[in-house]
Amino acid sequence: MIRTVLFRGGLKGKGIVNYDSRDQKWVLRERFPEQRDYLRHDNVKIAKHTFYVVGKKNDNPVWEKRLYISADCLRQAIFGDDFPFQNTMIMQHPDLLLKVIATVPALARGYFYAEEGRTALKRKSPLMITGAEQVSGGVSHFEINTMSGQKRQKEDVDEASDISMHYEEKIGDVEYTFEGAIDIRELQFISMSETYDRRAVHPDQCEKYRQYLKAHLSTEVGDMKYYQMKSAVIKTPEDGILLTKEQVVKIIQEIVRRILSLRIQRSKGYAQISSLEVKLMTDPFDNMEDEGGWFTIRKPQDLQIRPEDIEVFYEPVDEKEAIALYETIKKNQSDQGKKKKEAKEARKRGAKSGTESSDSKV
Amino acid sequence: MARKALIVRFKNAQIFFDPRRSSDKMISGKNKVPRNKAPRINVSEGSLDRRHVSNLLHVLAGERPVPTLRESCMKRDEAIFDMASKAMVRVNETTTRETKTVRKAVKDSWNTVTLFYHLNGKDIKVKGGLIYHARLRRYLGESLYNLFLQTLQDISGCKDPQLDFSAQEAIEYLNSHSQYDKRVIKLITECKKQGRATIANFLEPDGNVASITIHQGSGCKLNTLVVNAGIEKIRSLTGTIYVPIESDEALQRFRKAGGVATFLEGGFAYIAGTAEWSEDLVDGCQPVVEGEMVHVPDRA
Repeated sequence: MIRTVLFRGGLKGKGIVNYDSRDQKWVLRERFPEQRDYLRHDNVKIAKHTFYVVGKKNDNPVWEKRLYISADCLRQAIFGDDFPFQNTMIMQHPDLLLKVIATVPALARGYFYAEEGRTALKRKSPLMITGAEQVSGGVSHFEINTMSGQKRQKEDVDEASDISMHYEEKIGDVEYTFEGAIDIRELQFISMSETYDRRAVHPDQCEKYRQYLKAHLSTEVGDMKYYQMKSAVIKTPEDGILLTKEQVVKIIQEIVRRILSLRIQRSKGYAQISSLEVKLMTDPFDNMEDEGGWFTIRKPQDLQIRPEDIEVFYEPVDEKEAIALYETIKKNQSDQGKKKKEAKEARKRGAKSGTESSDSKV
Repeated sequence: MARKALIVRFKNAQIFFDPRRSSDKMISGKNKVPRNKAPRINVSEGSLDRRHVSNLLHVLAGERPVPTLRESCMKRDEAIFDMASKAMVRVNETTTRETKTVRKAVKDSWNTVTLFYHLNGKDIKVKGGLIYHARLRRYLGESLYNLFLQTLQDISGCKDPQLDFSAQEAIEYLNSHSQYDKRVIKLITECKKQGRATIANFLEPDGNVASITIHQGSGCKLNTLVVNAGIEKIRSLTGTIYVPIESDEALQRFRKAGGVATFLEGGFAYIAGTAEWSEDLVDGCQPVVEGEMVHVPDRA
């Protein structure tokens, strides 16, 4: 049975698409002394990098840097069409919020809507993706550039004036690789419980949520029930919706379709998907590093998953059993709380009588 | 069974090491706290916190992780925690001071920036800051906003008050005429009648300007629904964790789950296999540590 969908891919592009803050200059100055000339000033634009120690010279580490596109940047490129920006207006309109969270992109990307005094609505993304790291041999360099914008005049001799000239990191052709996984366990369950601090939908809105989700998935969405993880030793049920195997396959195919159309476009550069390989993992010990089982995907239709091969990580729990279990937990917690309170009050009384007796001695 | 090592690789696991010095608010649990007072765990460089590793192993073994910073009725699996406490870590690669855009909890967070308004001949700081025409229209409603514009046009003689005056300039201009111009006094009266005290306080010569706040909180009608995003500094770690496994049963638990998990902020972790435990295997590794918990409320 398929437990996880692993993937690895390549990106090709020109120029830099993901910049870091100028504070990186301190890191680069320390690790690459030959570039200090470019990094003396604040007006420098530096790309994101990863760093490796590749040797030692005079007891000092020798560093290598590779260009890097962060996982956040990749996720934004994958889901940017649906979530171009975080629109807070939906928080003001419960129905609108429900319509947003009952969509395939929301199920795949995850979300977090917090409000003071209420339980936050959150869903962890089943899509895990690493940042894309440079694998080609190109070496970046700093070039002098100008920016258009208003230039402030010096008002006295000591004042520093604004300058539009700056150094900017540049590169020509560049290739990156990334990897990741689609976690079927996270994907197939929509929690409506506070038990594990991951309520994705408020249970009162379950019916409407199911209707909206049905419209997107084109199939009936199951009822809210109590479920527990099959593999867990700590058997605590959680109420929520379990997606069917067909629905899970549909969402996986949608995620893969989006990865295949990944393109990051900037004014001075771009990076776009060049290759994608997928492995349907059935045994956790048969992992990313084993070369067997990988196959290339060029178009979304290349990914053929039979719904019956999808592992179901959850099993239903009888509602009466679940409710009885929670009542026991609640009662024990309340008893424990009372005991703590009593012990605290007893300590307070003890301290007070101690003070009074010492006062009477005086 | 001879002692084995479960090898877990992690990539791009990020740690927020130095919270931005600001008074921005965020929601922790159900409460609002300043961002720089957010609960966190300080972890020394080159190693990982054993509670983080424990939670990672919980997920890899098909259990739910147990919150470390938030109060929870969930109890951890002591067998897994014990394994995590004995684990060894090798951090292969680190980026430091990398920036990350963090979206704040949107509805109940706000900018605490203050802006100067020139009112009643003085420069006065107003909490919450920016106001513009669309925001003003939203707050005043169509008819009152039209009266505001009409008053502005009548007094200044401008052609298009929306173009000629920014919302802040308009407020300052009307405030400067509020002592003697009946049209402004009429506008103030109308604002008060319709419960728009903020604008009345702005315009009145003796208005309670100290009480003016232009926040984005849901309770405030000046709510602009602005996107809140902040830049934070992170350390990004890539490396390997060697977890000692003493029995076949323990190993089997990791076979039943998905084999992948997220780790720290945005990190990707997966089981990379097993090996016989040896000194050579963990050469150069650091033991996991118990990092210092900061700003975590006392739960005793």
